[in-house]
Amino acid sequence: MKYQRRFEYGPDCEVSILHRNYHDLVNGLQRRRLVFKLGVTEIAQRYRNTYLGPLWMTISLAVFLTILGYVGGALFNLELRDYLPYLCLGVVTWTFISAVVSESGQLFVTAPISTVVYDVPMSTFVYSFITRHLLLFAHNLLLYLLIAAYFGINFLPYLHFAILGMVILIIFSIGVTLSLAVICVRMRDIPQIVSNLLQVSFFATPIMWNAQLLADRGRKMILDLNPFYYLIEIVRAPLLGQEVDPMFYAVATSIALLTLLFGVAIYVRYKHRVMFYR
Amino acid sequence: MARISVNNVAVRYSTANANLSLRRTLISVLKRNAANAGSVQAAQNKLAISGVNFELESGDRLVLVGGNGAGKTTLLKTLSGIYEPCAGSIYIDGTKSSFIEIGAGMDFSLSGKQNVEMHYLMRGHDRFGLDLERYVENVREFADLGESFYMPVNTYSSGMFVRLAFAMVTEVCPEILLLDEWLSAGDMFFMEKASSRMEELANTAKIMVLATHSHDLALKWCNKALVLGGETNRFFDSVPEALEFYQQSQ
Repeated sequence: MKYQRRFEYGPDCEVSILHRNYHDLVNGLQRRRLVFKLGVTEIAQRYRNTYLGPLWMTISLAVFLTILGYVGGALFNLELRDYLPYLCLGVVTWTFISAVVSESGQLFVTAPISTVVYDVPMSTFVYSFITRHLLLFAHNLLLYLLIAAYFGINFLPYLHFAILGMVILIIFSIGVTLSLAVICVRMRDIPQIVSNLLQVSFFATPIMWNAQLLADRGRKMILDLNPFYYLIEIVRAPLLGQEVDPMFYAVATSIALLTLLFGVAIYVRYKHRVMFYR
Repeated sequence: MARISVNNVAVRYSTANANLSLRRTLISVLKRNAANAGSVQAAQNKLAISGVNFELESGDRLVLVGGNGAGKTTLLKTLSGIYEPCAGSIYIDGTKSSFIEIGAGMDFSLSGKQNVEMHYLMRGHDRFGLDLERYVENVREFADLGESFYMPVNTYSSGMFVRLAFAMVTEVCPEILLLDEWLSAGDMFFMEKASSRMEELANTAKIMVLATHSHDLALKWCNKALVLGGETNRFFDSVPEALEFYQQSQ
């Protein structure tokens, strides 16, 4: 491999701008070492000079789960054995999704993109952003492993479904990040709307409560129309050692692919304008 | 063979302004007040450079001349690939390196060494067989910061910061060198070292584009000149002629 030597800029070039932006997406994927390094460094930065580091996130999650598990278990009349693992996986998965969705708007505003001077594809920052949140997700998942071990939940027979679910979730995250990162550089009001919607979504999605409860009361529509429900369920159910209706995977895959398509379209169309709006 | 070919390039700045926020856009859409929206749009867009034409080949040293706001840095950033032109085309053949805001992208809470490692990855040196440890060692030696090299950059004085930034960006010599002002850095001792390295770089690079206010530097290093002045600009094959033209046009 050699250093890049051919560069073309401008609308009158032989290679169209759309084509070049698309290449940026592909080239970013090839910078795996940089992607990983950026992702890890970000996490290290956030917990700089703390004794416990990212463990803090897991601790606050544990506190949250203890309280909510206690209150919710009583509220919904559920055994801790049934409720806590369900709640834990729901919250962990939701934390990943909501962090990606809410922070992606700031990505190109704050990322050190002046470094494109060094021919770093802008998409590198997208991939490192996803990597960082995946690492945090994996870190939080350790808490679930403890809970699963304690209650004797065996999810190994369904592990491949969980992995498939994660792949779908990652595709969805890349799509969301590509689109929101670009859009929010230009329209700074969008992040406000997004964070608002996310807050509501947390309550409208079966995380604290069980989907069956709502379905029993004739409000199934909230579930059917909620994309987050499908995205969470495809990871949560198999890890709880439950079988999942293949329909969930079909819907979630469609959501993820549509989001990715939208994200790529936005990125390819507008990526070159990002630097002007920062 | 290195080459830069710039054909009729224009760059338009459009700023994300609160006036262009969602609220404004929505209101103007709702009012169907297209004419009004258009004028707001026009006010937000500024043509920074336009009609820029030149060709450079191996051996060429171009100086960009012009007052503040004439578009020198904009042109350099466009050649670097930061700004996409709104008209025309640019073809570049050769590995390039831009020394614009050389400390940009440095993370102040990381140590000097960590920043150098990050820079190594950013430049993609890892993919081309340049050894990381050797690179870090060379930068450490040149920056000559002692133990501070292993301390967070936010403990550095501004002079030390520039020394580190200078050492790490100039470690690898490109074929095409894009320079926003001649770099010099540090105390008297370091400045000597830095200037000899700059001269070495400027001599080794096949093409150099230098934006500077110093006529001495322009005359010393360059054989071609581009006088920028907003919407009009002229390319010269002789630097003294260009400087004369520039002084008369002021």
